[in-house]
This record gives sequence, structure tokens and C-alpha cells, in this order.
Amino acid sequence: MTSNNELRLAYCLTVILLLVGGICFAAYPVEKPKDPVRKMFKTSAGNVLFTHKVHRVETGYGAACIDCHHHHEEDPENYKACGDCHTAELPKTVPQNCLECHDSAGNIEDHHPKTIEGDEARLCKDCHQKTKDGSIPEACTECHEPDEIKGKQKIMNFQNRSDAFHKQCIDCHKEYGSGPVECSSCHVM
Amino acid sequence: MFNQKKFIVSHAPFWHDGSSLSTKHYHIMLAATLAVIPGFVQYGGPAVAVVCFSIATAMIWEMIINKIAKQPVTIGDGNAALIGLLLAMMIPATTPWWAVLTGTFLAIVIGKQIFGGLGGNPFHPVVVSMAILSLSWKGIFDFNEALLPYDFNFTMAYPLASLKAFGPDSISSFSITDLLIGRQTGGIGSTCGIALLIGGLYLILRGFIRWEISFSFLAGAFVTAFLFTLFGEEGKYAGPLFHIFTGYTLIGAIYLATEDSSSPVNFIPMLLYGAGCGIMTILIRNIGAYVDGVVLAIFLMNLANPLIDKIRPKALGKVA
Ligand code: HEC
Ligand code: HEC
Ligand code: HEC
Ligand code: HEC
Ligand code: HEC
Ligand code: HEC
Ligand code: HEC
Repeated sequence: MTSNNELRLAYCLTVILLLVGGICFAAYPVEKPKDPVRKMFKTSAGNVLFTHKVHRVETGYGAACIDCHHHHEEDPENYKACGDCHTAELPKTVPQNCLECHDSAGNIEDHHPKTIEGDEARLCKDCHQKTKDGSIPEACTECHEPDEIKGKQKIMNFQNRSDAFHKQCIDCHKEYGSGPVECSSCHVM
Repeated sequence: MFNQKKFIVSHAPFWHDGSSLSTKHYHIMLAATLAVIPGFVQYGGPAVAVVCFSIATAMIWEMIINKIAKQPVTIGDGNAALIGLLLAMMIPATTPWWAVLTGTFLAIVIGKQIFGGLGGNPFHPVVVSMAILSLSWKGIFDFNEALLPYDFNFTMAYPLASLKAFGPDSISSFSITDLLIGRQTGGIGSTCGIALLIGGLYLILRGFIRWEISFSFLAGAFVTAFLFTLFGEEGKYAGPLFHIFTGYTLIGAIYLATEDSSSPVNFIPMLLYGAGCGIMTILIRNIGAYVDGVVLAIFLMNLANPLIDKIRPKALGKVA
């Protein structure tokens, strides 16, 4: 082959490959499936690789959606991320996305404005806590006689984001007696 | 004494197999393509995009540099295309176009042309590029993260990452045959061991690459990994075959370490150089910080290459 022919071949190759490459990039963007196959959680303690699909399919660990997407969500296509409800900090107001479903019916409005302002601001857990003997939380007694509302308190083990993950993931692994429970077997440190 | 120049010699490479540089480079590309096909089959469109774009942009960068330097255009020799192909083989199918473009820039411009083009480069251009890329964009070149959307019917964790983070217990789901036939995640063209080996064998038989380097690379890696399992703490290190068939070991031994201008040309030095690459690879994987050691190992041995190549037979007769 003469070097002129070689050059011509190389030019042709460049043009063709550039075209094919460009078209393929445009035609086949890498799509993240809506229902994740795996998730990589990036944390300050190292990444965690979570095999979402393996956890839920029958041939894998066969967990039901509701075991994890636990809070009354009805549309599996559009499950919220855990962090949408389990926000990083303890919220001082009822997050807007709770109100999507929990509208202001009932006495929600009578109770919740108080959580917003001032030194007296209460955290969710002040009222939604689980007391040891099942008695009503102290916070209620400011406005109610204990007898009046007995048994009507709403317990909410409401956790911030990483506690929610840790509790759910590790509790289940313990329950099944398999799956990682130690820090270094989930986190790539 | 004559004071005039009689014979002007250019830089290495001097290895001559009777055919031209372009023949050699296109043959290597052909052999390497064998290992890319499984990648195309697995990852489809995005993998084709990365490979084609990488080869094309490598040639374009070379052309641009040729023009700037007012040199004749050298893409006819196929070396730029080969560099583009090898780079694409090592990166995930999900690499975005701009990262490919940056990768070929680093390989062609920083890795090769700065040193005067083909034959002048002290390091393998692709090794230079990979080293910089993976330090700069960890997420894009981390196979676990990059390949999240894909699901094949084998364990989708990157074997070397599992080994590093969770130890040999975590890799029991990989059988050696699975690894050999490419049932593992990794770069587009670096996971199918059997295809890499066939390509390598072809190139060695045709004399396009030196068996001494490939062989001593693999032997060095094998023996070192074996010694670790033998004398190291029980259950802490993976076996030699696992190391050979995962990560970049094979593509490194066959396509990267054998590059002419960054590797030695004498027999003993070739063996030393290859073995050095293999030993360093395992040392980095077993006791170093990086998940895979191949890129760094070759980089370091490239650096040592001029020194190693000093070990050579005495010339017959008298040297002035
Ligand atoms: C073992 C626990 C588990 C099971 C079982 C499970 N999921 Fe998930 N799923 C998760 C976690 C954790 C996430 C990540 C949420 C995040 O990013 O905060 C997730 C995310 C999702 C998302 C994406 C939400 C988003 O916007 O990030 C969808 C959709 C989803 N799951 C659907 C399903 C469906 C459908 C099922 C049942 C067939 C299911 N999941 C079963 C744990 C689970
Ligand atoms: C739609 C909002 C919402 C989403 C999405 C959500 N949670 Fe929750 N979660 C709650 C609420 C409200 C509570 C407290 C009520 C309760 O205890 O059931 C809670 C409680 C919990 C608890 C404590 C349960 C107990 O009994 O101690 C855990 C653990 C938890 N969530 C984990 C998760 C994980 C992991 C995800 C993501 C897969 C997730 N949650 C997604 C709303 C949500
Ligand atoms: C997808 C709609 C939806 C969203 C969003 C949602 N909830 Fe709920 N929640 C429900 C339903 C449905 C119930 C069940 C009501 C019942 O049993 O009467 C419920 C029940 C509860 C309960 C009662 C305890 C229980 O587990 O039955 C609490 C507390 C609660 N939600 C808190 C929250 C908080 C806090 C948020 C926001 C972080 C939230 N919810 C967001 C639908 C939702
Ligand atoms: C002053 C005490 C108090 C505080 C503080 C408080 N809550 Fe409540 N919350 C209640 C009471 C009482 C109810 C039950 C109302 C009812 O039954 O009508 C309730 C009900 C709810 C419900 C509806 C549950 C259902 O079953 O429909 C949600 C959601 C909720 N609270 C979220 C929150 C969040 C989030 C916070 C923190 C920002 C918070 N609450 C702080 C007293 C409180
Ligand atoms: C800031 C004062 C305040 C606090 C604190 C408070 N509530 Fe209330 N609660 C009210 C008001 C106001 C009403 C509405 C009274 C009415 O409709 O007669 C109400 C109504 C209720 C009702 C409905 C009563 C009925 O007869 O239908 C329940 C149940 C209740 N509260 C439970 C609780 C619980 C449980 C707590 C503690 C977690 C609590 N409340 C804390 C102010 C308060
Ligand atoms: C419903 C129960 C359940 C929940 C919830 C759950 N897991 Fe698991 N997980 C399992 C089981 C069962 C295994 C199987 C272990 C085995 O077979 O060795 C497992 C295995 C694993 C493994 C190791 C094997 C693999 O597939 O990678 C990891 C990592 C893991 N889980 C992470 C998580 C994380 C992170 C979460 C929380 C987001 C989580 N799991 C929530 C049941 C659960
Ligand atoms: C079952 C797997 C699993 C185990 C075991 C586990 N973690 Fe986690 N951890 C997670 C996941 C998933 C998250 C992700 C939460 C997120 O994305 O915010 C997380 C988040 C964290 C975070 C939050 C960092 C941040 O950026 O906010 C810290 C800190 C952490 N883990 C520490 C630990 C420690 C310490 C242990 C051992 C006691 C441990 N984890 C055990 C899965 C695990």
C-alpha cells in the first residue's frame, strides 16, 4: 500500500467512524431505568452498592415492594426516594410532600402550626413519640386532659435519612440471618 | 576519522517484521476487535458509540497536531486509530462523549505527540490517558457506578472492587470459566479473556508483538499472586487465575505493555520488564490502595524501561 492510499483510507475511516459514533451517541443515550437495577449510595462513610433488582426478584431475595417502600404508596412506577420523606434533618414543619396525602382534614391544622415557630417549637418526635408504657406524650398535656385523648396519639418512628436506611436494611438482614450487618460489609471504606 | 554523517537513525521502534507500520497497526486493531465484539453484544449502541467515537477523535487529534506542527499528516500509519481503539476497550460503555474526547486528547497529545510522535513516547499513550482520566473523574470510570443501569445474568459487581472492599469471600460467585468467557463487568473490550488471548496469540505468531513481554507479564502476575496465597495471611488474597482474568491484566499484557517505543528490545530486558509489570500489578492490587494495578504498573515500568534496556549483550568487536 502506498502512503497516499493509506492516508486516504485513514481519512475515510475517520469520517465514517465519527458519523457512526455521533449517531450512536444520539440514538442510544444511556438511560437509567425508572425501576433501578442497582443503586449506588454515596455517603461520607464510603459508597454503598445496593442490588435493588436482586433484592426484589423471586430468583434473588424475593422481598416485596412494600417491605421497603413501606409508606402507603400506591404507584410502584413512581415510588418516592426514601430521602423525600426521610429528610436529612429532623423537620420542624410537616413537609409539603406529606400533605400530598395527609390533607388538612381532621385536627392536623389544630396541632401542627405550633411546630413551626419560636423557642416553643416542637419536634415531630415530641408528639409522635412512642412512650414506654403507652401513656400519652407530655407535649399533649399542655392543651388536653390526658384522659380525653388516650390512645389517640400517632406514633411515628420518624427517622432521618441515613438512620432510615440503616434501620431498614440492617433489621431485615438480621431477620433473615444473611446479608451484611457490619459497616465494612456495606460501605466501601 | 570521517567527520561526516553516514547513517542517520531515527528513534525506536526498530523491530522489523518485513511489513510496514500500518500493516502492523491494522493487524493489532483487527486482533483487538475480537475482544470488542463481546462488549458490543453486551452493551449495544452505547458501546459502539464509544468505540467509533474514540477511534475517530484519536485520528482527528493527531491530524490537528500534525497541522499545527506543520508536519505531514501521520494518521495513515494507523497508530492513532489503534490508540483510540485501545482506550475505548478499557473504559465503560456508558462513558459520555466529552470524556471520550478528553481521553483521546490526553492519549494522542499528552501521551504521544508532545514527545515527538510515534516512537518518541516514553509511556504508552493509553496508559497516560487512563491514569489521568480515572484520577479526574472517578465516578465515570468506576465500573460499579458507571454500569448501574445494566443487568445481565451474572454478578454485576466489578470483581476487583469487590475483592478490594470485601475480601476474597465476596468473589466466590465468580468462577474462572465465567471470567474467561467475559461474564463479568469491566471495560468494553477488556473482560472477555478468551478473545484477548486468541488475539494475543495471533499477534505473537505473526510477530507483531513480542511474546517475551506478554508471557513474562502474565508469569510475573501469576507467580506473585500465587506466593501471596501461599505465604500471605490465610483467606486474605485471591488466587492467581482470578487476577489474570480480571481487570486489565490481559489487555495490559497483550496490548499495552508490548508497545514498541515504551518497552525494551533486548531479550533479558524484555523478560525483566514484563515480569516487573506483572509483579507490580499484583502488589498494587493486594497491598496498594488502587482497585486495579495494571495501569500504574505499566506506567512505572515504562519509566524504568530506558534503564532496564541498558542490560544488553556486549557488542562484538570494539566500540569506540
Ligand atoms: C430491599 C428493599 C427494596 C425492595 C424490596 C424494593 N425496593 Fe425499590 N427501592 C429501594 C431503595 C432503597 C430505593 C432507593 C431510594 C432512594 O434513592 O432513596 C428504591 C428505589 C426505587 C425506585 C426509584 C425511586 C426513586 O425515585 O429514586 C422505584 C421506582 C422502585 N424502587 C420500585 C420498586 C418496586 C416496583 C419494587 C417491588 C417490585 C421495589 N422497588 C422493591 C428499596 C427496595
Ligand atoms: C411517603 C413517605 C415515606 C417514604 C417514601 C419512605 N418512608 Fe420510611 N417512614 C415514613 C413515615 C411517615 C414513617 C413513620 C411512620 C411509621 O413509623 O410507620 C417512616 C418510618 C420508617 C422507618 C421506621 C419504622 C419503624 O417501625 O421503626 C424506617 C426504618 C423507614 N421509614 C425506612 C424507609 C426507607 C429505607 C425508605 C426507602 C425505601 C422509606 N422509609 C421511604 C415515610 C416514608
Ligand atoms: C403516598 C401518600 C402518603 C404520603 C406522601 C405520606 N403518607 Fe402518611 N400515610 C398515608 C396513608 C394512606 C396512611 C394510612 C392512613 C390510615 O391508616 O388511616 C398514612 C399513615 C400515616 C401515619 C400513621 C401511622 C401509620 O403508619 O399508619 C403517619 C404518622 C404518617 N402517615 C406520617 C406521614 C409523614 C410524616 C409523611 C411525610 C414525610 C407522610 N405520612 C407522607 C399516605 C401517605
Ligand atoms: C403538638 C404535637 C404534634 C407535633 C409537634 C407534631 N404532630 Fe403530627 N400529629 C399530631 C396529632 C395529635 C396528630 C393526629 C391528628 C388527628 O388524629 O387528627 C398528628 C397527625 C399527623 C399526621 C397525619 C397522620 C395520619 O394518620 O393521618 C402527619 C402526617 C403528621 N402528624 C406529621 C407530623 C410531622 C412531620 C411533624 C414534625 C414536623 C409533626 N407531625 C409534629 C400532633 C403533633
Ligand atoms: C397546642 C395545643 C395542643 C396540643 C399540644 C395537642 N393538641 Fe390535640 N387538639 C388541640 C385542639 C385545639 C384541638 C381541637 C379541639 C376541638 O376540636 O375541640 C385538638 C384536638 C385533638 C383531638 C381530637 C379530639 C376529638 O375529640 O376529636 C385529638 C385526638 C388530639 N387533639 C390528640 C392530641 C394528642 C395525642 C396530642 C399529643 C401528641 C395533642 N393532641 C396535642 C390542641 C392541642
Ligand atoms: C426485605 C429484607 C431486606 C431488606 C429491606 C434489605 N435487604 Fe439486603 N439482603 C437481604 C437478603 C435476604 C440478602 C441475601 C444475603 C445472602 O443471600 O447472602 C441481602 C443481601 C444484601 C447484600 C449483599 C449481597 C448483594 O446482593 O450485594 C447487600 C450489599 C445488601 N443486602 C444491601 C442492602 C441495603 C443497602 C439495603 C437497604 C437499602 C438492604 N440490603 C435492604 C434482604 C434485605
Ligand atoms: C446494610 C448496609 C449498611 C450497613 C451494614 C451500614 N450502612 Fe451506613 N449507610 C448505608 C446506606 C444505604 C446509606 C445511605 C444513606 C444515604 O444515602 O443517605 C448509609 C449511610 C451512612 C452514613 C451517612 C453518611 C452521610 O453522608 O450522611 C454513615 C455515617 C454511615 N452510613 C455509617 C455506617 C456505620 C458506622 C456502619 C456500621 C455500624 C454502617 N454505616 C453500616 C448502608 C449501610
